[in-house]
Amino acid sequence: MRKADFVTGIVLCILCLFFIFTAFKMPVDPAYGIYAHPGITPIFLATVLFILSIYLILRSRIKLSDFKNDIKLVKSFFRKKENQNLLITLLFMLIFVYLIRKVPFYILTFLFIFSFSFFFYRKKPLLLLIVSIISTFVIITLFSRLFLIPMP
Amino acid sequence: MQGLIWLLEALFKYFTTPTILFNAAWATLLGIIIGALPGLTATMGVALLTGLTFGFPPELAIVMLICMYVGAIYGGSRSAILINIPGTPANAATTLDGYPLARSGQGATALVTATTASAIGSLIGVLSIFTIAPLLGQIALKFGSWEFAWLAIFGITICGALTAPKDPLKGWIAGFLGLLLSQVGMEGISSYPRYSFGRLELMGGFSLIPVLVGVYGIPEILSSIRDYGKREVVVELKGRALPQIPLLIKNWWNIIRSGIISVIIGVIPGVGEDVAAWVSYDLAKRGSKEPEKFGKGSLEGLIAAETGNNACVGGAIIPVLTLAVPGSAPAAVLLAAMWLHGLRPGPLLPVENPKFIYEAAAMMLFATVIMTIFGLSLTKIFLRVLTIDTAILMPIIFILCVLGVYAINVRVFDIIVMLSFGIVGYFMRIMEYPAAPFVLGFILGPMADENIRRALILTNGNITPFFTRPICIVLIIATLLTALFRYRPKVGGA
Repeated sequence: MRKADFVTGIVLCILCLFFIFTAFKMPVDPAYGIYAHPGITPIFLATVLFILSIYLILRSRIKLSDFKNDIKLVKSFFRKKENQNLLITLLFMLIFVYLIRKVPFYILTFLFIFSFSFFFYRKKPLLLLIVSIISTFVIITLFSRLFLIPMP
Repeated sequence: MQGLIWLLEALFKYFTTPTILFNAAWATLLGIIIGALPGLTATMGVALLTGLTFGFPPELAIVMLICMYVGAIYGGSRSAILINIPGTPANAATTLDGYPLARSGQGATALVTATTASAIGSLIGVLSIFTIAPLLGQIALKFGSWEFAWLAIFGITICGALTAPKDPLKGWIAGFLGLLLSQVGMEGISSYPRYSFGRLELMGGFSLIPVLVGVYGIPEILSSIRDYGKREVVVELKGRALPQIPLLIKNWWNIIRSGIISVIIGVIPGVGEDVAAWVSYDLAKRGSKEPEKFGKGSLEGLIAAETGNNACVGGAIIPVLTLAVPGSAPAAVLLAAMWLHGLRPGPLLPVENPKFIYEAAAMMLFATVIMTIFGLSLTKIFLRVLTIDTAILMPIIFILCVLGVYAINVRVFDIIVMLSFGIVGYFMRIMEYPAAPFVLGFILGPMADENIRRALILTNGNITPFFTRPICIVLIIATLLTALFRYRPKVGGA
């Protein structure tokens, strides 16, 4: 957790600096004057977050040399079944979102539900096929017919 | 007296209008199911229903959302008792005694006791809306820009400290990150598009519902699949299936104490039902004559946790109505839904539409009645739902998330926002950054921004009123006390 805190602290500091420097470039609206400058609040908030992040880094007491043997940790992360499940789920989601509006939504929904459930459940493909068809039909009908929401 | 008449009028209307009755019934039932399913929280349920009810009349939509909220917080107790996994974070304390009771053959008793305690908790919540909201509304009228700016800072500080008790620093970081990211998009005074880099989608900022569904929903789906195959369901229900009045009478002080403390916790910005349940449970254990039974199947503990989380719902709605500040994450979505439907909760509500506060109390009472009826009659159906395999359920839930988010603005960009914040939310979860202050920051960000700058414009840059106005002084002291007393330095933490 200490290493994770250290890395998070660095990322947050970079984010805060980005917010602060961009805020300084924002224009002043002459109608409202300097006190309505759009950057005032982001600068204040980013400064507070920057201080908290610096404290997070200092508190972790990590040196750069502590990261030497982390390649092994990364390898063991990918070997764990739980983490594989996690990454595959994420991949399924990313592919689904990428294919929205590229593939008709009802086909995409059916394929997503079927492939996802089959990949993890690994049993009764016929049952999964029926569940996927019915759930796709119910979801699409419910949203598009009953709630009158256009499909992506 | 006028308030009571408005409440009864509204209640009569809800029970006698078939459209409201029908829609509220299915929203409550859906809420109980969503709450019962590990992987779906009350926040996500309210957010999904906000998308679905977008085209409904405002009153009907808000009734349904409150039904969903009350139902989901209660529904979480089903899975907490039967599979030892809290359906929502609010039911985490319920698992401690609910599951041992179910395993020892008192499953039905535990379920019915949880239902009764939840109903009583909700009634205490209704009573609190009815009595406290008008009073808080009067105080809120005294709030100016300076006070609202401090209220945002105070909200983040206390929410961060209470939702990350082991390491408040992470709670505060999450809160300020939420505040900072809410600054993206057009600001409220001169409409300058901040951090949008000429991109049209970013000019409107990150919409609240995609962020909420992302931060709460996606990490739940990812965690459920990561831990796939690890849950055990108690499929046999034994024990008494009727409410035990003597047990409730015996626990009268436990119920009242849990109810009152949870309402107070509910009023505190962003803290929410999970903290209320834990505090109620802890107080019940300290005050019990049989503390050794806690964690091994104590009905006293179960009653405290379930009364607490449902009473907190009423408490969390109070600041939504009077300050436009949510008391919990699901209340944050409720607030967003009210805005979407053109309602204007906040300090002016008691002046502009005083009836609405009592109507909200009636909505919650209405939801409580429906929840109790379903809770006592449909226990076996909930058990069936819980046996659905995660691998089949989660892709369907993901599709519902996608469509719920898409329905608000009909933009694919919102789906991308949901997924991105979902990934951020997952990392926050595994690194022990609480989601509640992050979401609260998102809600309070625009309010803080507008009020800080408006206050500076009003005083021509003089910051003295920020530190000298009476309510500001109270908020500053409360903020400092929270920060100083809650924080224990964790140098080189684990």
